[in-house]
Amino acid sequence: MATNNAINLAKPYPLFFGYYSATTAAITGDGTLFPLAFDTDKFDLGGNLLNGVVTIPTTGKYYIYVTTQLGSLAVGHTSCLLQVGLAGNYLDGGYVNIGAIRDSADTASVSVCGLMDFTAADIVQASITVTGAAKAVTVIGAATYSSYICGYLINS
Amino acid sequence: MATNNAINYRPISWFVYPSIDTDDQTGDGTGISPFFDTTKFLIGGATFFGHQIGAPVAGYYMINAQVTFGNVAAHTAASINILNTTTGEQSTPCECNPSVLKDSSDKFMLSTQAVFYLNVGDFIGVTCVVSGGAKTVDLLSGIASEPLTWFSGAILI
Repeated sequence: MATNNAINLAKPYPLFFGYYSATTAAITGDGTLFPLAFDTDKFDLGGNLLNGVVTIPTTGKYYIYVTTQLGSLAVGHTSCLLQVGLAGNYLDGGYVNIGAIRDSADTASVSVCGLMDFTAADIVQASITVTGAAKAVTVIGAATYSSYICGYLINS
Repeated sequence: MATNNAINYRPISWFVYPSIDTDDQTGDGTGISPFFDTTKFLIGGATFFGHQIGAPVAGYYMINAQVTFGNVAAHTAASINILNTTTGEQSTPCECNPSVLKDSSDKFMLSTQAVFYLNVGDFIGVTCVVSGGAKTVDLLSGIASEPLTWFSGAILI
């Protein structure tokens, strides 16, 4: 940032969007915490996103949004937690009875978003935990961005 | 915008949350405006009044909020929205049936976000309500490192 509080838009600044291009194997459902490794970048200005892991380049306030479409849900999957951040600094979302709100294809989506305060070199990742039944739940991926993480630097 | 493609930018942003759970806040249709007693950050001149934030300059603000309820029973309706208490403008409420949404611990979350144009001195806050049962629904705070209920925002332009 320049000394006159100006941001030069000609420079790449932290702005990223990563998604699952294909559906994962069964990764949770029995309480297993699964780190979300979004395998494809839609864009990544500044080169800070790799396999769903964001290495924070600049200390500041970031807008973060994560959404996951879950598949192979059953009625017994009664709890869910979608989390993003790092130890000591998380946003929690997705507290719902995910099995009860699944659609006729046994899928449902949860998301979390908010502003987060990060320090340069922080390693940020999202995770999903579904509890209550078998480890059968998948994260649905597609070129239409069913499950993704995105964010950008708000101010430093 | 300056001739060098730069935008003169004022870094206004906030993240506030309640530090303690509050019991029996709603459930019978009582509308509440959560009391955010703690700031994670509050910069750029935004003013903090517990239930709401005051805009220090006019502009477009991206605002988001999440509320986590506990002790949910057979309550049949819930909603959350963002309200400009100065002008009365509000976001479209996010609505649901909490008796279906609640997890195995009788908790559920509601969140919403919107972009508002705020004038200098406008106050913006969060309102929510649960109805269809007894006034036994709690507002859950979480812990400092993992808040469950919060109100955050930043100026865009």
